[in-house]
Amino acid sequence: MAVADLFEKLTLTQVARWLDIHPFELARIIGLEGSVRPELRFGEDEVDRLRDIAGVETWWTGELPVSDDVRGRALVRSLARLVVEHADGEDWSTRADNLFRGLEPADQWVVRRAINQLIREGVLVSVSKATGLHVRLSGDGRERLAHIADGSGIPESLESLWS
Amino acid sequence: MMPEDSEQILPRLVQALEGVSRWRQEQEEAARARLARINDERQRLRADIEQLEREIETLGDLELKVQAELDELPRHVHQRTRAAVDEGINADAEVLAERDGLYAAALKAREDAVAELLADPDIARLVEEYEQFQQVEPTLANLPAGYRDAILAHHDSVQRRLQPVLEVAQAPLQPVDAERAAVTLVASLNPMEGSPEALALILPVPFDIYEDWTERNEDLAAVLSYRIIAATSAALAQVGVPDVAMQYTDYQGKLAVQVWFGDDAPQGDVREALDAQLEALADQAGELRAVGLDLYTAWLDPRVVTGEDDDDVQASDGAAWTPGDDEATEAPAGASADVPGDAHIESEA
Repeated sequence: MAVADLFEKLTLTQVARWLDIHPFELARIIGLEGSVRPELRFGEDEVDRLRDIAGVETWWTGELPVSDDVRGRALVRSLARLVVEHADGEDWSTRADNLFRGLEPADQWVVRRAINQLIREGVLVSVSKATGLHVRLSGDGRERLAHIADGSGIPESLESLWS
Repeated sequence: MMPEDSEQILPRLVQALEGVSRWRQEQEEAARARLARINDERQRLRADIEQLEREIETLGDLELKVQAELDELPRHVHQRTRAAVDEGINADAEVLAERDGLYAAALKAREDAVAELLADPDIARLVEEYEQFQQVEPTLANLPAGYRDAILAHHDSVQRRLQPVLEVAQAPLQPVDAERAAVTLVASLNPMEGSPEALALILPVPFDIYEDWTERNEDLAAVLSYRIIAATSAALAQVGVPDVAMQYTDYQGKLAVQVWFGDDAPQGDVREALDAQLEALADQAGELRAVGLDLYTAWLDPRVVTGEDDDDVQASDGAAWTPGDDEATEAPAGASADVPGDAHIESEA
């Protein structure tokens, strides 16, 4: 970091990188403030506030919550477990990218495909929000995810991800 | 019998009859002459009528031709407008690229002012202390209160003495010396009247600002994009549809923004709300003011923006935009595709 960086505010692109979201999503959130900033620069103290508004969370840290001999299946079962653990009410929804943030690129690829498949299967529902694309559970989504997490009800369509 | 050597004298009656005969002859000659003239006139008129009929026939052909041209006018207007938009957007993109040099110069001027202050040995020493504090800050909690308070007090003192640097580093960008320039945002609502189903914007900036943002510097084009998206977001919130889906697409290498209202009917005038936000942007955005750049909005027929086939232009009610199929847009790094309904979060390509 250059010395001058200690004193200069962050650009929108830098904050977006920091939050691991697309700058256009951040720009959309900034628009909700209702007033035009004299310059699109941000103090470090604003980053946490913006993270909260954006709903950015990192679910994947350390070991996978579900172990399985097959890496792809472990990822999908872990995804299901994480969603069930985080979904704490009928109105619950979360940023779609929270479902794979923190994973290595190869693992992200598997989880993203799994999320798409879960939306096709009607387990998850995508919801457009100003802060970014969200997903929520369908009516029986929690139950179906619980079966995926414990390995008793993994849809055949997901098995193609690791077979 | 009349006498032979005497002057012949006609009786009055005969004279009268001869007068009648002469009058008849004169009248007949005059009438025949008039008939001849009438006949000539009739023939002339017939010739004129034939000429006029030929001219009418010619006018009929001309009328068909002009009517056809009139029928074709929307198509030509459409083509010319599209050409003007394409040409204008490219020209505006060049203006923006030129102004980017001025933007970089304005940023550098501010950085140079900071660097000049930092070159002062006293300031440099304070900065060094400031950086050292940042390194030890996480461990302060482990120190005895007395040490911790002393360090914090000293840090406050350092911060106060560095305040001039902070003020220079965060000062508004100074306007550069240049003639004013302007770029255009193309905007379109579909339908143009009544409750809109979709809003489209075309920005004079490269599409890779969206797609390859991780590889790019934040230049003036990127800042303008962020500003316009923020203004659009504010306008959507103003008309009661803050969460409506927004998509970003490639319009001939330039960035296009599409908003699909779907079942979320705006509770206000979208155009009025967006115009107000863009006006505020143009007035208050420091980056644009620093480089002397004005932003105009051109509201156009949606068919121009969608680039419909010319055949569709003949339809008076306009062809409806339709959102893409349920396959989600491929999302660039760090983004989930912003798609409506039960679409997927992104493509699997």
